[in-house]
Amino acid sequence: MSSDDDIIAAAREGFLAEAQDMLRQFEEGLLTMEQDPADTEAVNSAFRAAHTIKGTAGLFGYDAVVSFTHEVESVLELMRSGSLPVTEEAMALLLQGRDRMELLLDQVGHGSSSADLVAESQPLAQALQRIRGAGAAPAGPAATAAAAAALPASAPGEPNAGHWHLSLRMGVDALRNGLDPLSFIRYLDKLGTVTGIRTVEEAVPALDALDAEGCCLGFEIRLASAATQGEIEAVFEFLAEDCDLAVLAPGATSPDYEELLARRTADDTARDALLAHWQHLAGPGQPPFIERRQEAQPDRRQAEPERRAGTKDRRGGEETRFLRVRADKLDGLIDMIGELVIASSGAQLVAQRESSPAFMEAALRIEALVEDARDRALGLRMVPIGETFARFQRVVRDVSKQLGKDVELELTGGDTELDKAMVETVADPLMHLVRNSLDHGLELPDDREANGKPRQGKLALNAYHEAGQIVVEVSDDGRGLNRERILAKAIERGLVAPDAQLSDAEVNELIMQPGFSTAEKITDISGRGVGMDVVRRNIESLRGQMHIASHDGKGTTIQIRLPLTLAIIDGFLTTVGDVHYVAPLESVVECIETPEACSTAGERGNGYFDLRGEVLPFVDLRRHFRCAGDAPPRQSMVIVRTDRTKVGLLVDRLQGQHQTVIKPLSRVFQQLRGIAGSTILGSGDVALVLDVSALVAGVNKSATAR
Amino acid sequence: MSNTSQTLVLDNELTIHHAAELKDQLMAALSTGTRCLDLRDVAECDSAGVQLLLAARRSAQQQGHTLTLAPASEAVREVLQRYGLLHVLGTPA
Repeated sequence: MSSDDDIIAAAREGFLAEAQDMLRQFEEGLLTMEQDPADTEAVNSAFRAAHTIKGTAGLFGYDAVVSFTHEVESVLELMRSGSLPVTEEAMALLLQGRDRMELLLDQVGHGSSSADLVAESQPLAQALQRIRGAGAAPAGPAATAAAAAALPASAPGEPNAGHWHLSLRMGVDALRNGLDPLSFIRYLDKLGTVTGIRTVEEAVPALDALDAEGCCLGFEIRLASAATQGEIEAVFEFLAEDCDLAVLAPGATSPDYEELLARRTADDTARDALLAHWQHLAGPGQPPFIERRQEAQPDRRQAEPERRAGTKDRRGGEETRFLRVRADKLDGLIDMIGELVIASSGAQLVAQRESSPAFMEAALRIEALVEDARDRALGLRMVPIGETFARFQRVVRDVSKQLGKDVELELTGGDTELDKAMVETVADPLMHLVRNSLDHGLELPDDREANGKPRQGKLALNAYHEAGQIVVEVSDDGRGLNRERILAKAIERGLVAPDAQLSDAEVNELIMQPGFSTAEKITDISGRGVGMDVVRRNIESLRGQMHIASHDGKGTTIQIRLPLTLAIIDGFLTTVGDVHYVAPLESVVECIETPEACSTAGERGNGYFDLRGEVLPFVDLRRHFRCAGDAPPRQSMVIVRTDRTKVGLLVDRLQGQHQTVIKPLSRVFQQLRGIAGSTILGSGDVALVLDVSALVAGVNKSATAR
Repeated sequence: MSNTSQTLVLDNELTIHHAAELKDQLMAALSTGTRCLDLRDVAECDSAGVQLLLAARRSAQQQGHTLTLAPASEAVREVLQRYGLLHVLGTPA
């Protein structure tokens, strides 16, 4: 691959990443619009996002993306100018359009181009065209009628009252950059009434000299509006680099116009032409804007560069706040720092052995710095959970519509940060929980009213840091968990004894058992009974925990607790022979003396034992990992918890708690069952991190095989 | 006048996407005596399209002719009206 290809590939990745951000912005804008159709900033933001996607896709020549996005953008453009109402149908189509754009972008990401996908996009594109047509057709004549009515009305009495004068000269690249002045002029309808417009076409050459994609149009516009200068200028902000704009306030005096005239025209012919335009705009019988004086000196250069510098600065400031860094570079850095941590504790060991106070002091200082650096490096991987939360706006909207429910989503703690990898893994379980709440938790509006609750249900997502963990909560004010029904179901399934006395918490835990669903009817949202146990397994694979709190009739809160990062864990260090094994500390339940049954288990290395009346599997790590040498006379057993059960691990010695930077195993060892990773101890020894679930799975398999 | 002049029927979009080809098409048509553009099937029109029409009119003028648009679709009329150009590119409805 040549270096050019590399550059293009890298640029494409940048484009795709940016497009993802833009899609998010787009969706957020749409959802806000749906809540509040009058929110012009939301419309603008969605429009800008679509526009950016189209523009950048155009640079790369992704025609399918460009042409489809164009349809979406056009609809938004009309909404922006107020000539197309924000209807439910239009919003639904736009949201579908967003999904379609994502599919088309995905295709770019895979480097493939399937004609099928493009063809599939056609009906949606046509639907978008249709609503655009429906909006634009009646809007056109109506707007012009208004303009026609306004023109004579404004003429008598105060000639210039409330009339702004806008003078635009398009930059030659405006159209090529996808900026059509038409849309901005349409948008002026939002601010007031365009009472007159003259297209300055003197600069348009004959066909043979025309650059068909360049722009040489200019406009002189009279706008009756109560808006401020800032508001009017803001309309054209997006166009700032591609047009020269002058806005004269209603009270502008002759010298102002004269200055503009000088700025716009180079010779007398052009001057006369522009004056004729102005005359026409002001209407018959109006005094000329300025006396015809020949000595006016052009000084167009002064005002212009200043204004442009201003806009550039604003944009530059936004862009430099973030830096896109390749994830593997970051991982490399974190790896490196992990090594540093180990090396520094090695240095401390040497210092201790040398018993040199100065050396000790230096080593301690280094250790403190290294730890600080480690925390910061890990911090680089942290991203706010808010982006993940924002995705649920759409889900809640779609699902509640589908179910005929009225649900408000409340997001709090969106700036709580957690590891990027974790954010991605936690999104799926969260999705499950949100869907569950929508489907089973929250009632239909009528039912809610009958129970004395507001018709609109509330679903809240909340995140915060607590005691070195991230807590994410999904709560709703729905019907809550029905203790009796869960219990009945559990007894029917044989999960609990009919006469068992269970606490509320224990009952709630039951719904996280595999295959448990109390839903009377299965919907396509959830309720197939594959939900909660999978969620819990996912959460536990992130070394997190899940808790359920519920009040019958009042609502349910599901709390997920996750460690801050996957890279560092609190481990429980044990040894078998010369090898160190680390089990995640939060999975350790207790340490007991080796029960009789285990030491006499023979060569098999695993089996079952009786822990205070509970039958638990155990694994003799010495035998399981085929450690050479004889077991010491006294072994210990560590009871660890896995997703479904507890298991005893038979080890030689317990070494206590140890903070561990987990390093993934190299490819050679990835087939090893029961080992999740490795870590290096301060002494330089390697310790293996146990994958407890895999160990247990192994035990169960060999048990059933027998 | 209109029965002696030739009419060019444009049915593409009058937009920047087709601007370059439209330009060639218009130039060719003008040189073969077209004096009238039929835009009734033009579904979409943007500023690049308007600019092309203006340039075409100018070309015709330079050659000593008048270029008329007759008739134009609602989409084209809306844009021309917006730009205050209906009278300039005068189209009988």
